Amino acid sequence: MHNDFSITGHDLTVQQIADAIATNSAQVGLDETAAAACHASRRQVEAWLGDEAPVVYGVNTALGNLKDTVLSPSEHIAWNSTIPYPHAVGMGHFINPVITRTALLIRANVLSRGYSGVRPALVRRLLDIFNAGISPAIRELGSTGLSDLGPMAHCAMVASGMEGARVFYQGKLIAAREALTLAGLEPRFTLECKEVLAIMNGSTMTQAAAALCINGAGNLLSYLEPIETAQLAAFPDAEELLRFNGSVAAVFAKIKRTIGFETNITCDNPLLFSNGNTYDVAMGCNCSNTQVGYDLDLLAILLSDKAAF
Amino acid sequence: MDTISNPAFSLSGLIGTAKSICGAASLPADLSATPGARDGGYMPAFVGTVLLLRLQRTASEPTQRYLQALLDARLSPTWRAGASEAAARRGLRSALEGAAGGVLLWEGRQLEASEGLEVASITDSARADVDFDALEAQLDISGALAVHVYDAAHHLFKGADICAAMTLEGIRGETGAFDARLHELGRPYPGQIAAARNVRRIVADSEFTTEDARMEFGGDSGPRCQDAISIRAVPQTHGGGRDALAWFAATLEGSLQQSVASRDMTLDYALDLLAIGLIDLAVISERRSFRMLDSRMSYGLPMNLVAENPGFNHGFPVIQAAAAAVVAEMKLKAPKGRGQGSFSALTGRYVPRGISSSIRLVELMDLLGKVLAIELFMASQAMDLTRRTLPNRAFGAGSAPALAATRTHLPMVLQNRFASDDMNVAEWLIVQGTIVRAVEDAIGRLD
Repeated sequence: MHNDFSITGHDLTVQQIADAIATNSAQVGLDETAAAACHASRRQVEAWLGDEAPVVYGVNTALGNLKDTVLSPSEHIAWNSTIPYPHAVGMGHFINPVITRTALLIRANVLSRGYSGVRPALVRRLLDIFNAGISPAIRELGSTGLSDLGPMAHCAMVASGMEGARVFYQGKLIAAREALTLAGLEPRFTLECKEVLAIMNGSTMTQAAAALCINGAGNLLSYLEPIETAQLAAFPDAEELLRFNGSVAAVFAKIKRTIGFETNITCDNPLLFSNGNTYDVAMGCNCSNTQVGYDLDLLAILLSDKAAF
Repeated sequence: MDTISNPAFSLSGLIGTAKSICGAASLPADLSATPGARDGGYMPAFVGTVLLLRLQRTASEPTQRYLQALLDARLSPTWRAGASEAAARRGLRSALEGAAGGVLLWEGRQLEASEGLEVASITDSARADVDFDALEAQLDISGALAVHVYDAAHHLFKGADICAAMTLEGIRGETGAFDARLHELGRPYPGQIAAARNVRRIVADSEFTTEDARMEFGGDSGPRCQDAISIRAVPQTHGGGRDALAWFAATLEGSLQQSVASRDMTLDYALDLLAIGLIDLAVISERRSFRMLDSRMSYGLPMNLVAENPGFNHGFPVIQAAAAAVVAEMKLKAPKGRGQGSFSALTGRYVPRGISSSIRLVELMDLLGKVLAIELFMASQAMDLTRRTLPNRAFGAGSAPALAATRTHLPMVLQNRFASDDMNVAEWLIVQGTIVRAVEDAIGRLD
């Protein structure tokens, strides 16, 4: 099937996301150069699963009390088939399915940058689910305050077709496996070493909401423009309005830049960086999307002021 | 006296010139004095000096000569903190006129305006042709405050990075989270890159932030993969605030080129964003200092950082609780999520926020300085306690001088000691630049 566009991990825009969501039939693929980058870092992960491999924390080990314990490939698969469950917290109403589906696209973009050490097949799996119009069903309350562990664990469950995972598909809330089958996709997908953490770790659900918010807000502001222009003569202080709108435009542009930037970063952990011959692993905290949080607070302030004017 | 020549009206030019006039900040002789302009204190000399420099831009020739005389004499008009903008404007006018009620700052002293002019030998004739009505109308109080906010906030961001680095040393932390590639390749926000770079430079060559130091100390049950989020998310959190500061600076740069009357509201929004960043800086600092109280979370430091005779000596729990209290005060000043602008129901016109946005930042910075001071106090204790166990190791290129500078004024706590005085001293060391200068003298300018 022809792709409308391909993700590279470096240039996905808010507009592309909005257009893909709006058509509901967009087909997004994985750029071949990005696939090669994923393949290269994945080869290193697989080498670390060999018999003589060193301990590589967070990659070939488990977590917590087992952080020093190297697991075999099959042990990783077994662990990955359970670990999303205790992380998949959530209470209250379901998050808007448009947002959860968008998160799949953005997470695929994150992983396609090649620093996460996942298989290209995983990236394509996320895109296949997105392209099929399937949206993870995720209850909205229960944030850890940093990184969307709960919502993204649900996404991992859906990607893998785990028991209990549910989705919205063609207007209905159904089991993920059933939706995947109806969509012509394999109901099960094995998540291998590092691939669960690569999906779960990072603030991608927030990013999905942010991208759709900024697009929607931009649309609202553009709807207002001709209305205000027509009414300018009747406005008590047209010069004041124009100056205020100038501020709104400047602040809005700044927020949009931030959200666009955040769409093309790597937020899972740990990350792999090539050093020429092999890869180094670095453990950080790019799940923390500080700038987006601040700018969304500012967007709320801005829109409230605009509404009041 | 040297004649101070007016800079180009760039932000950096204004700050550099104002600082050269005001002189380097120094610790007061009496460290029991209250830092900052609170409790009826006056706005710092830096603010008044920026005001004078800004006024020169549009003043008539006689007025320019008068302003120059004030600058050359290093007199700075001021007003009482907490005053309304109208009261500030009246106070400043009185200071400039040498009228009753006006206050001029000079060499760290608050002088009646008339006395200040007399000390500087500025005669009545020098003021004779000055149009004080026009001067009062042109006072760019919000602009001067915004310049002060930028400069002071940047200083506090440096202080926050130093405190985080010292905490990292105290807990023998993992430096991997500051690996340049995580930030330059993984999530390349300029502020994040800068914060990570600062911490790397401060702890450079440390023999404490290493795996073998952790093993030798014995506080870890195995190799430490990564530290808690309040440590390993420093680049992202401090970086987010730095990016807010950068946008604020860019916006301010543009605003300073505009007249006050034509200035738009973008600067107010930039101040709101910076306010959020400063509050977050305090939140994560408080979390770091909290972790130092518990042996499990500090990887083996004594509970409550008690150096000797635990149980008899109490340590830092109540000191640390004060940080939580101050953070709560800061959160009360957070911009609300709606409607910062004020619109007159009668006229429908936007009512500018004036100096209120900047004043909120001044208040937040005052509180942030206290939270960082508590972390400095506790991290210094943690570093010295760690060094007792590992006496033959050296701290990092920047963290060693930071600790030494702290200890010059604030000894290690060995026995129960009056906490409030110590906390006050620590705050001076943060806000007056002692710690930042010690680090920058050793390793060069921080971002």
